[in-house]
Amino acid sequence: MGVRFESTSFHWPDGTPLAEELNLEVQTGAITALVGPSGCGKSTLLRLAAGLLEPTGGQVTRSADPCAFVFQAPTLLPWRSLRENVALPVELGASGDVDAALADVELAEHASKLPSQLSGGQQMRASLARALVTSPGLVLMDEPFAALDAITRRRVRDTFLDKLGGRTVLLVTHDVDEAVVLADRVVVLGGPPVGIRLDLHIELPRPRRVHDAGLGDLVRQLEGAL
Amino acid sequence: MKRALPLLVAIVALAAWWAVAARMPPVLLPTPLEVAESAWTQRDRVGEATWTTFLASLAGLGTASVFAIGGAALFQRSRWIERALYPYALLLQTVPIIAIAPLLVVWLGYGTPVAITTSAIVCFFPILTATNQGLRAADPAQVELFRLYGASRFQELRLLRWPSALPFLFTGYRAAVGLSVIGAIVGEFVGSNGSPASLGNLVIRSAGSADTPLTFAAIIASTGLALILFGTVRLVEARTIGRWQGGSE
Repeated sequence: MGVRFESTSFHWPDGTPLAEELNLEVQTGAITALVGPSGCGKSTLLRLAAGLLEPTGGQVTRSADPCAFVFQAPTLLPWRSLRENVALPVELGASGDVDAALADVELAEHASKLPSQLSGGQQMRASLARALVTSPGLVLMDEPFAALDAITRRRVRDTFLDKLGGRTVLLVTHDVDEAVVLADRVVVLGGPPVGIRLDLHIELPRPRRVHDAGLGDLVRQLEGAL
Repeated sequence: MKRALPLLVAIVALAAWWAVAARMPPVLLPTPLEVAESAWTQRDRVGEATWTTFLASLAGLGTASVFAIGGAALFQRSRWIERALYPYALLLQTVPIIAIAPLLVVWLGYGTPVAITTSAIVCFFPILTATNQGLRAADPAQVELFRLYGASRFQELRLLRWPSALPFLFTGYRAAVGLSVIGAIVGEFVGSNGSPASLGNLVIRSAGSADTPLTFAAIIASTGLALILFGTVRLVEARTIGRWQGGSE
């Protein structure tokens, strides 16, 4: 079990319901993409999975493995060098190999630079290195490629796929193409309150490209459910 | 051109001052040359006064920093403390400093402590507000990141909130350094008996004895003092947070 939402409800402090009795299980070792319109509650589900928010009803359980979060923006600390940024989880008490994490995303030679001295793609890869430095079993990703241009997005996406293999990944995206290229399973959400409109397992080989045979039908099926 | 413009304005202003002053008696408006002569002939007195006021401004700024940054850290810890104390901080800002100064003489006696206190009072609020705002300005995603990794409150404060607050803090200090000199001089107007010599006292005495060139020299020295302090803040700012904002590769 990666993450399990069991009859999970979440209400904002003003009482507005975001989730009511939601049931969803994210399988271990697979990439699950959550797709849905803006404001349906995708990112809130991610925060519930991370334990950053507490459900107001039901429960969210996850495996005891370390958990990492990759945000839409790189969220690097601008006053710290790349190495210091990647080392942050270790400095906060987790264990991990900073040099290996930097080498994994091919940023070892930039370790002493500040984030402002790196391109957007390099910053995103540094953000991935920071997420993976503790060898997390669960990686939660909130639209991590949304701020990148098309070419950089493809490159960074490939790096992510390469480095995330075997881990449990819960990916939030509003991009259906991205979901079918990356995920083993795509869950289309509607709401709020958030509900599952379509749950689709993709068993096509990787690497996938948007124009691959078979993906077009899946994209149309998912877009129909949105 | 960008750098030359302020210099050009200064040259034009100096020429205009000279042209007007040349048609007036020195007691009303001395020429720049008469001011320079007065500053040179009384350089020991002006120098000592400038040094005294500089130290008072610096001590005022330091005292204000201790209370303002400490207060902001306390506010950051609890909204309730902020709600309870902030109105009084605001009150301190609204009371005219010139009205408080005579009371400070009664409590502290004549001398530099009055100037330090008035300087600290006027510097306190901008530093408090800037620090308070800065400590709350950390990127919410970065705060979530720290919480995800189980950071303690102290780690969050030390590794995230303080560095995030620095740009705000420098903005506060840019406003506060000029005020620190003004505060010290106001304190010296009322609380200095001339020993040691101070710019506030020099302005009062020279104006009282119609030594207008010396008054101008003291005013220019106080402006120079504020500019040096401002420049120092800008320099430290550029050396620290300026590094974070370099261009992308």
